Amino acid sequence: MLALRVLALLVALGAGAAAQASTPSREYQVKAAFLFNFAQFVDWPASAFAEDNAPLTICVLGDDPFGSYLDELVRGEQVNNRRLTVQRFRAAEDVKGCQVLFVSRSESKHLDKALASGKGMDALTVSDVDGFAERGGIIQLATESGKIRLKINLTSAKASNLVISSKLLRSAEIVAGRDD
Amino acid sequence: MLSFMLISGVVVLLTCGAFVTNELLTYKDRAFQGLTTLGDIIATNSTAALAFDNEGDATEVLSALKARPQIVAAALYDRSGKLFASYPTSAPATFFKTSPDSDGFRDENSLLVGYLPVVQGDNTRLGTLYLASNKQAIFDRLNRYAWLATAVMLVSLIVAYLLSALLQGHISRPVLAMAETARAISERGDYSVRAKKEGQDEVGLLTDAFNHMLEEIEVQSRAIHDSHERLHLALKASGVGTWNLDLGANRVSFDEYAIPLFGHPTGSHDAAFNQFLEMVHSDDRPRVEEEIRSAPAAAGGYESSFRVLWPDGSMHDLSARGKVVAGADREHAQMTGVIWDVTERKRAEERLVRLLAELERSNKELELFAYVASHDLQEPLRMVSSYTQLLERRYSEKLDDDAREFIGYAVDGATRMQRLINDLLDFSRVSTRARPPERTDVAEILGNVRANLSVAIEEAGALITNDFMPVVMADAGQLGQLLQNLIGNALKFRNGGRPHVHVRAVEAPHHWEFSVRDNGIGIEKQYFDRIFVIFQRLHTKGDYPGTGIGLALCKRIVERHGGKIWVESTPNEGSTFSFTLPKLASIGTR
Repeated sequence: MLALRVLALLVALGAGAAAQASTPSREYQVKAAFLFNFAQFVDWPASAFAEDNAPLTICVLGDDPFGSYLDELVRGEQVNNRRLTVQRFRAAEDVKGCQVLFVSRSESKHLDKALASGKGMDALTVSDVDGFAERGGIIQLATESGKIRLKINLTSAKASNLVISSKLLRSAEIVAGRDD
Repeated sequence: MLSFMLISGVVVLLTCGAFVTNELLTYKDRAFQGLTTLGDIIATNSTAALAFDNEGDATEVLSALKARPQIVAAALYDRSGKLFASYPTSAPATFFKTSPDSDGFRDENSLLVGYLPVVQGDNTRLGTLYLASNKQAIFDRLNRYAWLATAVMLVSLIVAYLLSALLQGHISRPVLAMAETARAISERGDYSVRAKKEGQDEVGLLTDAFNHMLEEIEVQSRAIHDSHERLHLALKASGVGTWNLDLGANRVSFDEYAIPLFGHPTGSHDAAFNQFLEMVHSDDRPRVEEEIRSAPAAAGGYESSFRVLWPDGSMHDLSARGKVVAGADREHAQMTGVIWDVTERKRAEERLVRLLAELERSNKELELFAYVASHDLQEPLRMVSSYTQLLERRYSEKLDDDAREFIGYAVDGATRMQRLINDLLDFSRVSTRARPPERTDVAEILGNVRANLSVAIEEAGALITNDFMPVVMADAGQLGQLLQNLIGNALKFRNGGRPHVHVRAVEAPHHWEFSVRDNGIGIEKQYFDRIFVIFQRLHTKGDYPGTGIGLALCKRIVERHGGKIWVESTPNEGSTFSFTLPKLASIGTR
């Protein structure tokens, strides 16, 4: 089971850009849904948006594991009267105007840079890179016994002026950040 | 008292019934509302668990339902409709449906079941919550209501009992006292009993009114009793009986005074109409029946006389009078009336009629006899008179004094007999030569009388005066005879001095009263009646000539005209003869 999942993961990673137009794995379908759901359980400070009716932007930094699935998921949806849009960035330096910043595994070596840019615009940083929360990311998607579990670093969330719903917190594991 | 408790019991019963009915009608809605509230809380709490696929969290959220014992099962379905988490954990998976039904609540057998959407944020549906509740809470609630209603009712009845016991002193007791009084009155007929007044409130006023009514009844009852007694005395004394007749029922009834009139000392008070007719003489029977049956149409009520046959065979005359009291046709009228025995009167009347007829006949015969006798007596008397006078004239020279004196007696006797016969003829002619009454001027009659008596008046030097004389209905010849006799008498019985006769007439409502006053010798009071009897004379023929018929003739004439005649007099001062003449004279045949 685990082998199969790893294999699938490898295929996904190997596929890379080629996977962009195709259906992602079951795992990333779930994760795409999670990204969308986060928008509903998190309150951003008004300063996080350029203007009152600016859309809520979900950004993918690095290799995109979702392909067009994420776009289709958010199409036509609204959260707190804001449309949802998806943007993709290759480099952390370019990232801007994001409320949710998903840091792809391809960026695991440049996490600090990604986290810094996310913190600079009060974005909810999400990633499935191991140890993401401990290292200062806000929500980490961890896989345990074939299920995706949430790990949340409340200190980071507070640092970015984000309020996370207690309901979301109850479903998650609270982790403390490492003192860097 | 019972009514107080009955009323309050019914009121409380209805009120409680209304509450319980309302509860029964709305318990489902209320239960669904409670279920919705609970479901909303659970659904809100389980959004994150569904959004982030956290089964354990979801199960934990559902397990909070332990606090609600009426929730027997609950489940969460994810967005795709797959069973996600369930409660209680011990329940087998087969208990739940594999996919949720449409949203909403329904009553499934013994459970109330609801499907609620789980929504986060605006309208993003994350899944469905299923809740199943038993009805224990409803039953508990209804049970509680039932106990409450029973308790309220008991308390109300106790309070009502106490209140009515308290109020009875003020209302029920006086009313019961009045009822007791009324019963005493109706049982004993003693209207002098009065109800006791206990206060000045409305019940006191009612008692007053009741007592006042009793007073009225007492007075009226006494009046009715007295009137009844009087009626019975009158009926008993007069022998008048009463009867009731109902033609519709064909029954007639008689009272105790009417029954003896039919010859039954004690008989049935009630009989069929035909039985009554049987008692009526067969000659009268059809007339009696017709008279009774036509009474409703008659204006003056019913009045009849008929003969009845008594059981002993005797025949009796009865008179009946009555009026119709109900019904207006021959077949259905109801009548009431009186009946009495007129046998005695009938027989007396018949006897009277017979006697009168006999009297009239004998009177007529007598008058005829008197007339014929006096008429026929005249012829031989005239012969005796004329030959005696002839004898006196031719042979008086040849006879001696004795013979002349004897002849003188014979002539005198014949002359007196002549006058007697003339007077008798006059007397009998009062009825045999009578004429019907006509308008007669008394002044004119009086003038004729003066002329007839002119020689006597002149001879006596008399003064005849009169007042106003009316016009009356009378037989003029007889009226003249009457006045001539009275004035002639006044001249004849004069008292030495100059006679003065005054005639006057005084009007009374129904008659004229005439009087003839003189200043003659007068009459002793003891003779006032005797002088009107025929042949009765107070004086010798030597003092005052006469036959003793004049005043009797006057009396006959006056009585024939329906009047009366009398005399008032003082001896040596004069007499006043008065007589009356009815204004509407109808002269009898006698």
